[in-house]
Amino acid sequence: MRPIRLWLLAGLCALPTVLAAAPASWSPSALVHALKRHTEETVRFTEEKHLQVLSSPLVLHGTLVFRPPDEVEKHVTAPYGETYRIRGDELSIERPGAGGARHVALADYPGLAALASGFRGVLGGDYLLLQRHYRMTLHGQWSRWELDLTPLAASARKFLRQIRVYGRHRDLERFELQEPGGDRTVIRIDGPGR
Amino acid sequence: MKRLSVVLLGGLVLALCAAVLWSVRIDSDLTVFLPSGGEPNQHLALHQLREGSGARIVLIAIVGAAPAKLARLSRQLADRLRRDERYLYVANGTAHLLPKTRSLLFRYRYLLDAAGAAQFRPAELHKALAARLRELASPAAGLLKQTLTADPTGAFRRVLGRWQPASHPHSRDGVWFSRDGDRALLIAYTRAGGYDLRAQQRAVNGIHQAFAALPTAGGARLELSGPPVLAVAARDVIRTEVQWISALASLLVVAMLWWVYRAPSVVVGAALPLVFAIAVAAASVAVLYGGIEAITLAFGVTLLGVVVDYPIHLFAHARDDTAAGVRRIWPTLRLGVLTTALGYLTMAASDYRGLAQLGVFAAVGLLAGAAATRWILPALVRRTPASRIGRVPQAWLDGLPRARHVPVLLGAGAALMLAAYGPGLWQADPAALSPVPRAAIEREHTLRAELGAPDVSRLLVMRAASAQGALRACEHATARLKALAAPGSRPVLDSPCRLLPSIRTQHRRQGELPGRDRLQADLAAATRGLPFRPGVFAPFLSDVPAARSLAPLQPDALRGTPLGLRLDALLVPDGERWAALFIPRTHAADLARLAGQIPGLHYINLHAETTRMMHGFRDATLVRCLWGLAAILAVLAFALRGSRRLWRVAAPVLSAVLVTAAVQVLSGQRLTLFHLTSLVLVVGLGVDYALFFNRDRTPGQRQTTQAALVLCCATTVGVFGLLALAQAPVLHAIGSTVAMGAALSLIFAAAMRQPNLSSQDHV
Repeated sequence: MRPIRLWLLAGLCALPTVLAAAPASWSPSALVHALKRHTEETVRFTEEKHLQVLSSPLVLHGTLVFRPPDEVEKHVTAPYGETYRIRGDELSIERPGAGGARHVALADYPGLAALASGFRGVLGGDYLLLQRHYRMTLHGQWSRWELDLTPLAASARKFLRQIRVYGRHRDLERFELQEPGGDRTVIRIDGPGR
Repeated sequence: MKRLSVVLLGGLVLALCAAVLWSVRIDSDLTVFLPSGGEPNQHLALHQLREGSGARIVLIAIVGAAPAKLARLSRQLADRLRRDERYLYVANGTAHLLPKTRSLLFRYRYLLDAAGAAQFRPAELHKALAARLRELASPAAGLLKQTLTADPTGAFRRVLGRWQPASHPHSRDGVWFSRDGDRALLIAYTRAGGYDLRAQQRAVNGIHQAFAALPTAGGARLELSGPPVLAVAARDVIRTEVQWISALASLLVVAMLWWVYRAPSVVVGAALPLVFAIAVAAASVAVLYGGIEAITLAFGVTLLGVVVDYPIHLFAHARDDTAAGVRRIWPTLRLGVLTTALGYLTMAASDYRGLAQLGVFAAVGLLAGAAATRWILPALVRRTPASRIGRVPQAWLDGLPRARHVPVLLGAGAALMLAAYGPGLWQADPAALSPVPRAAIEREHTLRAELGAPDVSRLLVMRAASAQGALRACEHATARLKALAAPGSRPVLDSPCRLLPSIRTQHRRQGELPGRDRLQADLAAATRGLPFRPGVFAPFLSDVPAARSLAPLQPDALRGTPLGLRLDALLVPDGERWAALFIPRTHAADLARLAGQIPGLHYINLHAETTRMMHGFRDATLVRCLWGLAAILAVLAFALRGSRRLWRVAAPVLSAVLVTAAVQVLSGQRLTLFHLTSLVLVVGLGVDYALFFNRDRTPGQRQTTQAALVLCCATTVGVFGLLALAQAPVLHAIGSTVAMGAALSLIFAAAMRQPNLSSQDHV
């Protein structure tokens, strides 16, 4: 009797995860659909930038907000305050005390546009958007996976070699951005914010 | 023999005129009706209107497809136009400088950057490096990384920022779009300036052709606007209307003559003096002025339409013998022609080239037409068939109540009314004369707003003897402006020295650049505490000392690039001198007040200057017309020798002119130059009518004369009545003024005819 009850318990515990998301088949498209956020979500992050021109990495802390269907906001809180917001076809950059936001058209910066569609595609579960901009490769399984996004456009590849997204089930764990010159950025998701 | 020699002589004159006109240059310079000299500000305004970049900009919109397709079409169209010689510069999205221009600006960054030597001090360097570090952390760092190691102080970015246009249109996929995404937007600068309408037309056509040749244009459409497009459209509207109206008018005159005479010789004969008049007039202007303006030609031909009256008078009085007829009417005709020609000759002395040409054209044409009627026509058409017009007009004119006081009273009333209107009589807005449909003008406003094309109508100007002098004056004024206003309230002005400093300033900056050793020491101090890897700024350490030995950048180095175009719009030749223009990047700056505070800095409002020039032109024309009128009256007084006869001729004419002007104003029109010149024509016609009305002694002669007068008046009213139907305001003004003036002149002259003769009844 006991082993059975244990299994039952384990099964019951796993049920929410399975019901919530487990994709029916295992493919980039199935994973991306499963990742889709339906409501606003805020997470804390730690970002490390390993740049060729620097002898030690830059470390930033802050929160990442996703608002369906496609708005992404990055608040840097330390070592200084700064907010980046991807909305429509614009990136706005806001610094406290700088007086008003600076607006940058994504279309004018191919690297930025690729990055924006990467975040939007993954968080918004927009497989078609990702497919338009990236070649996708999936490693691992539902319990621990890695999705590699390689930009299709040569203009974007000049700035961004690859985005690697790591996760477990529906939870995103880490983004890694590889740049052509050897620069590398790691954004680690630390847990739910606020 | 004499007859033959006259005809041969006439033929020879025509052949000569044809030879002159064969090679003549017909100009389409619309600014010819503006003064040639004038004040310096007007001169500059005129230059800007004719040559300035504002007169070259074609605004292009592609509509009627999904945004992605519009963006693709925009790229393809821009590609084609960029390869075309007819356009100086084509833009359809964020300006990506050519690598060559970009590296030029990069190389000269320390000579162009206004931050100067201060940026190399350790404290400033440290601040700049800390700022760069923060930018490196931003997701938008991609571009910064390319220049960071050679330009840690951001000098290049500041230089680029100054060259950026004041405002950006909305953009999608890197291509300019309207806010609603319905239209892809482009601009093209034509190589041809505003003065060369034909070349501008070729440029405008080239855009249509390039678009039509795109393989995938499909359902998408092109919408063009901008000064070259509007100017070409205006010319086309006038040209089309003139073509169909003159065809209809010719038909009308032929039909009337045919109805009256039923003889081909009369119809052809009536056209001869007109052809002669136009040929001689055009050739004379071409020889005198070395070319003829299209607008002079068009308007002059309209004025010469009155020459058709001369053969009509001749045929009416000719009966069987044309030569006898011509002797009968010549004294009256000669007086009429001479007075009118004199009226136009006063215009020929005008300072305005267009007006002077028009005066010469009309005066010479009238004299040539009269001469052809007097000497050539009788030699060609020897017998004139009887007129069928008969007694009908006679009865009609006699039926008019003879009310000598009515025209005078009406004229006086009209004069009072016109006086009461004062300056409100005159059309103040030159745009009201434009024949371009309102929708086209509105489209231009919309496109201009979407593209953020700057308003270049208000500006400040600083003059000097040379281009470099103008740049130095510009720098001086900029420094003074900076000292005048607090940073918040300081207007942001585009100026040539903001883009390209004078050689003197570049030399000064070079002198202040640090040497390699000092820079290296300062940089080491500035990097302390920051995580930059040692040695990464090697390119910076070699570029700064290298800039010390560069030859200063001069305007010529930028020629043919988009940057050169921007500079050319701000640093302009002004006669023998050079002018640096300051154009506000944001509207609402009290430029006039600023100009008052800095010696040498002048404020120009192009719109106000143009309006003032138009007013000057109008006043000059009015004065000329009044002089012409005085000359006409003087000649009449001399020839008629009698105040009563002079009164009978002059009073109906003046009344007709005043009443015509008053009716135009009452019907909601404002008077323009074209009304004025048309009124001179009315004076000429009216004097003719009144002279003929008062010449005859016997009822038989009177019947003949009046029949001719009615036919003359009917053709004039018919032809100009057709012109009044035109959409183009200029043509409508001429047509309605002359048609009404001619009719009133005849009616008034009839009402004031000699009492002793008209009281007799004919047999």
